[in-house]
Amino acid sequence: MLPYPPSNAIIYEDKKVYVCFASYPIGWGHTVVVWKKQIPDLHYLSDGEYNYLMDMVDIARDALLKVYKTQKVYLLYMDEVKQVHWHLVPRFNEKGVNVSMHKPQKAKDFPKILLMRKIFQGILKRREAKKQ
Amino acid sequence: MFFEDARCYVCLAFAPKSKGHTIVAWKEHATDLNDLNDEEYHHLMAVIRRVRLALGRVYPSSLVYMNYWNEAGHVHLHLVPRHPDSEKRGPELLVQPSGNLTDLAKIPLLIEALR
Repeated sequence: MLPYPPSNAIIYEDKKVYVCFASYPIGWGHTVVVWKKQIPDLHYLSDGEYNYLMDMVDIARDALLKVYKTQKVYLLYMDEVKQVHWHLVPRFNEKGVNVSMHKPQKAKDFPKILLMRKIFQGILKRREAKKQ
Repeated sequence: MFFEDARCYVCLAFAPKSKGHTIVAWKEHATDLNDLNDEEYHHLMAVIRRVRLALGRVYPSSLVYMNYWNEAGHVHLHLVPRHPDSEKRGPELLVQPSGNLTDLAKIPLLIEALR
């Protein structure tokens, strides 16, 4: 199971998911979207749960694009730790899959956390309002 | 190619990282996922879910990685099975040299698994 992140890394949390900056990022802004209930693979999620997770991934991706002013955010899903989660990695100068081979470095702090929380909440509220 | 609808097509990769390496591509020109509206995004994700389930049936006991490293200027995602006997896992599987497309014989099974 994934270790629960420190509170100052949490961007968003509800009953189903949490979104946080990675404790050991492979790059600036590396973010993780985690399904809280320990489920070993995406295919165990119901359609509704899957849609909910992918909405959260999309919101986090939008927020990263705005906060880090990048053109791309890479997505990566591997299920080796048996807990459903997506990695989101903003792409800066280095392009392509080799980014995933960066050695993770322990994060000392999360300087963009307040801005990420604000932007994430703003996108979430706009989307919820659109649905109603 | 083993699946197509009005918006997406799904094919085995020409230069696969593993057997069953599949690409799900958006047909219309879109350079980034952000170019898709909410409904289109959900459609693409639903197709990916179906294809991933089919890959799980055809390659049982394999995990299926998904990744989006879209630098081709055309929205597509890679679904890469990590087989039980694979020496590589995680990012190492994704960065290893690509192989040749050798599992075309699985196409009928993938089509059947998608039904």
